[in-house]
Amino acid sequence: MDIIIANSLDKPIYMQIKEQVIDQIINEKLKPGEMLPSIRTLAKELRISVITTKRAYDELERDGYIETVVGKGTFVSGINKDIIRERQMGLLENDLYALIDNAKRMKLSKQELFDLINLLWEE
Amino acid sequence: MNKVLEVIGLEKHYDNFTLDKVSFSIEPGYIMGYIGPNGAGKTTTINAILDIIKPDKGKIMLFGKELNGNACEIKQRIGFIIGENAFYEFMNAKEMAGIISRFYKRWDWGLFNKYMREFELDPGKKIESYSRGMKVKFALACALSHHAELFILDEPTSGLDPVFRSELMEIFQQIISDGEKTILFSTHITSDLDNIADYITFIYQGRIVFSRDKDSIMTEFALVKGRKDQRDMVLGSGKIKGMLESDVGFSALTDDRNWFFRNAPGSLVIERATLEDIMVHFVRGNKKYDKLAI
Amino acid sequence: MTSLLYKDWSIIKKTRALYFSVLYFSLIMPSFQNMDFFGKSFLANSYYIFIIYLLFSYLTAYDYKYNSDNFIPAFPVTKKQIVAARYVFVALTFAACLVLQSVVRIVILVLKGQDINIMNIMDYGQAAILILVFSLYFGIVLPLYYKLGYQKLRLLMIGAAVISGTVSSVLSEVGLDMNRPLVMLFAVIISAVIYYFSFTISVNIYKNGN
Repeated sequence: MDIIIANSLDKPIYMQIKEQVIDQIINEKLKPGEMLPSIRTLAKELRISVITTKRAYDELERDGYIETVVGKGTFVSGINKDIIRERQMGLLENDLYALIDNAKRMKLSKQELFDLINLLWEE
Repeated sequence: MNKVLEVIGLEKHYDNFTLDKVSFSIEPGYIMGYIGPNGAGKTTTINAILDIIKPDKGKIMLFGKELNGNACEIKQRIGFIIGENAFYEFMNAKEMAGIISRFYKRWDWGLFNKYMREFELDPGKKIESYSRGMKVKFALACALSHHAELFILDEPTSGLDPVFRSELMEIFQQIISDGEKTILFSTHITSDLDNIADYITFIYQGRIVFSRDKDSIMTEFALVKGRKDQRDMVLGSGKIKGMLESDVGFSALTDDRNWFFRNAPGSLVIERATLEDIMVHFVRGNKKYDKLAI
Repeated sequence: MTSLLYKDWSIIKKTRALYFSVLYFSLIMPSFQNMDFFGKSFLANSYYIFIIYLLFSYLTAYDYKYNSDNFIPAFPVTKKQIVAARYVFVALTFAACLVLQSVVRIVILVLKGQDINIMNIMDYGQAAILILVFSLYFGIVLPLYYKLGYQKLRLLMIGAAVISGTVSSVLSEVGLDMNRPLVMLFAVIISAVIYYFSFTISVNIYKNGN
């Protein structure tokens, strides 16, 4: 498992860990059944607080990416890749709904929104 | 939730200083940073927890027992570093450890020798010939050698260079890595805590400003910076905890960063506040404003 | 409590204070005993108190220099034990001086080729007075030490050592023939009461101090 923490980012550290673990599960760097470092080991390795890593693991576990077996450790769960992707698409859709809502409120046309997306996409 | 340490309504009055109803608590397995400017009451609190001074009022619970009445039993389970001196410095480390070992039922020479090797300290040398950093390490080796469960460290990093401080932080993380040991350490060098602390308790002028987990502090507090003509608008929000002004603008501390994200004009700069920013704005930026939300 | 006494012993041992004061006591003092300037026991009694004062002062000076009041109570001991250890230490030093004086007497007796018996190895009357003076002196000095601290007290103590030496020598000059072990036993009991009373006062001062 590789995790790189960026202190400059405004993104909370627990979120950075969570996203990087999910990415590595998706592109199969982390395989189902593989053991992850314990919360406290990871905190020590990353030089961050225990609470932060605990929150990342708690959320990963809640979302079904990892499983904790008491007395044994934390493992990547046997979750199907397609399901992960589907779930991420779901999250993306939610974001898009919010975006479209906002655009409608601002009386933006569909084309204007597309243009804006096109412009930002290239950046 | 079980607590290793609970300080409840602690009061201590001196001629020129008052510790005013100080309360906070720690769960086992975590690191709490106790921050505040010099003279804020950090050492007084720690001295009360270590049974060195007697509080005027309030209660201190350690391992679920009240300190008053169970002091000896409780102190067997505490390791400490206090003050600038590492005990009787005219002795060599081995002799001093010999004295300390007689106070603790669970003193472990094997452990002590292991830490002395790990910290690269010569036990035959006089403590006064050690550098400041070595003295801290020696005191830490003593604190670690009787199987203590709670470590109370008063300004262990003061006077140490950044490399040494970083090494010490690594040792602290190592200490709590089994999930059963707990560290409370006071410091005015808050950058030590930005990374590894789980909880932060901030004391100023004898009162606790806040005591909470560091992550929530980091996500709720922020610095709001702007031009002089935006000052009144920002102060008027009622969300400012402290403000520093200069000839070219101001820097204000808020504990409601989202409010500014939603409501503030784009010309204001909103940025992450470090613990140092928080402390400095509270202490220095607190004097002349009547509109502060405190 | 033994841990606290061991600590005191380590300091004394380390600083050689004990070594020198014992040397001083056992070599120089007996020669004073033969002088008769101020009555036979003035110097002897003064030096007794002075030597114990010296050791006590050495300890407190080190405690002061290394701020031990700021860390000793953080060890698993009660404040009562800390005070008790100091009282016991001072009393033990005094007892050691008494024993040592007897040893010196015995050596002199042997050198002179005289018989040794229970009545001539110690001047019980003088010892009784000394014990009383000791308990009064430290019974007052120790609570003052806990009240005022080392710095304010140290000059006061030297003067007091001389005064108590004078008092005890006057007492032994006017004293009748009190050279009986029973007299000493009686003095020990009274002294113990005084000493214990002083101890309870000191504990109260120390517990409530800052």
